[in-house]
Amino acid sequence: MAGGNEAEFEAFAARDGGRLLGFALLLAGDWQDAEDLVQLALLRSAGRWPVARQHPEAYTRAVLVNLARDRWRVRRRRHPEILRGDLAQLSPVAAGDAAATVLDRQLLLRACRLLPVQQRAVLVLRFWEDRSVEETAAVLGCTAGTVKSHTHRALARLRLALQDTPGLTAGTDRKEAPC
Amino acid sequence: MLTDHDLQNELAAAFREQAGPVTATAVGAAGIFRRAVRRRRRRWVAASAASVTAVVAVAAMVTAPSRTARPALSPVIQPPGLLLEADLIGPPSARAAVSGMPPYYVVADHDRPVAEVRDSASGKILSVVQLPPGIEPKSSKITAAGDDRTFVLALSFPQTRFYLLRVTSDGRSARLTPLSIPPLPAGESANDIAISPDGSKLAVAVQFSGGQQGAVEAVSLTTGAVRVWSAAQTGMPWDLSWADGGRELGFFWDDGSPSAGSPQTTASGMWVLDTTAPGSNLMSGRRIVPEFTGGDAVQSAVLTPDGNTVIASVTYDGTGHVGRGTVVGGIAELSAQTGHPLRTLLAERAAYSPDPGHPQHWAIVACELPAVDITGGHLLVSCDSFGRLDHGLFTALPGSAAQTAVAAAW
Repeated sequence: MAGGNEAEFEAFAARDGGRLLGFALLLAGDWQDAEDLVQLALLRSAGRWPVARQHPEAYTRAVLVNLARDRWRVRRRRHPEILRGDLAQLSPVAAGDAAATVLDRQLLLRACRLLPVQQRAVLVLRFWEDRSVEETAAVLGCTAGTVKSHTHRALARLRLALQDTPGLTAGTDRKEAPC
Repeated sequence: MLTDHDLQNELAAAFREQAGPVTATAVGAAGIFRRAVRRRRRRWVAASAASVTAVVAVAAMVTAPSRTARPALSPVIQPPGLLLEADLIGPPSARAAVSGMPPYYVVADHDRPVAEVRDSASGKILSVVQLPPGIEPKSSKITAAGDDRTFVLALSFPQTRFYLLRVTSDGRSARLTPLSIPPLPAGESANDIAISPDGSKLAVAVQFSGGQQGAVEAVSLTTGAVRVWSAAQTGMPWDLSWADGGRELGFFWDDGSPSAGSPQTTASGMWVLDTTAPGSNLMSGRRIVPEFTGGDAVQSAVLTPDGNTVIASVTYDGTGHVGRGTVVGGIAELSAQTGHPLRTLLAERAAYSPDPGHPQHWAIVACELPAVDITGGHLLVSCDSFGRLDHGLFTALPGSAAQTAVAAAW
């Protein structure tokens, strides 16, 4: 990589690296995998910078999704999991509790991690990055119709998962992870 | 009933809560181009800005010694670190190397709730054990007693429960039964388990909820009595190993200090605890080897059953010159008395830079060290490929992904 390109790449990494890390975290579910994904994705983008520099963020995101889908994994240690409770073993707490709201979202994230990577990527791009269907399709290299069907299926699966877990869907029967 | 709109809003809020804080993290590309070698991270703390700059060329080639010759690298560059400075072992012949090797090993599938009994020589599946439904396969832990037939598994539902696996002498049949010891309380998980060679005690490295505190427990499998050693300081134990007939218990303590932490300021490293001594302080034993020595970082380490040596996965994390052929990681045998390197059992050499424009940059993927047999001479390792390391002779085995935390025992 020539000096000018290197400076350009470094500027890209500095500007978008944090956002990519957040994206990877939502895809991978833990810090270490997320960092590994970003590391390798940036390396690949650097290696193909003449191509990637046209749309570096989109290019790197696509690489991230592919890496996650390929089950790329060099995890060293299992990251500690804050939420350890078995969904079926959670004990009830009062509705409206702020902790229960946090728990609901943890449950949601956990259910999200059970989705296929492509569906998860669609949800992250649509609802975290607030991208349109068309933009999401462009990032993932698929059609708008595929994005729509992924979104529909993913939401349906999340709803199904949550229905099995009192909480989001049953306001008076919230449960909290024991600690 | 949640509407789609509600669900999308909740999802967006959940995403923001989880990923929002990290978007301000500085990710510097300079690491790719200006640093030399950086080990694979193993931090369990939330990444700091500095740690996220670990955007480093990551590749290495396992060049375990073969029977024919050492890798033809000219000139062979000496290891820049200290733990890898011992001579690379000259391996015995294949026949001699496998002498005394356990006949099979048990490995947990990373994606399915099954454990496989595989032939040690070929890796061929001898039998498949169905694990209870509902477990999280990636969290499974396996340990072997010294009789080649008795194994204990810790399975996560996610509440961790313990099972006994008895395998017939030919490996073609196995029976899984729940152990009559209580599961870990909800919110706790097992970082590692180790059964004593005589099969009487099970040690569990426990990670408490929140992931910043841990303890070691030893459970009598005959009486169910539990003894707990805990630490007042933040950190977690890993890599349990019994030695000296079940008197000594080795563990790797990781206090989450940055890689620049000096041995004087961090407790991280391989410790040994005398389990016959009174008290419940986990750190009352002695540290055999710190996590960082010079430019070398110990990724994992276990005591051999005789208690005389430590088998350690090491990577070079320093700033010394690294070139093609430099030993930048591997498996080293250290003295349990002094912590000094005795032999290098497997060497990883810098061999590849993913950026052709910057060939001076190298990196390393740390070896996993899933299992050491009762003799201490036969190891299961996962570096650039999974396999067994018999007195320094590496043989790849099928069925397990490379560079992955493999749950296996023999």
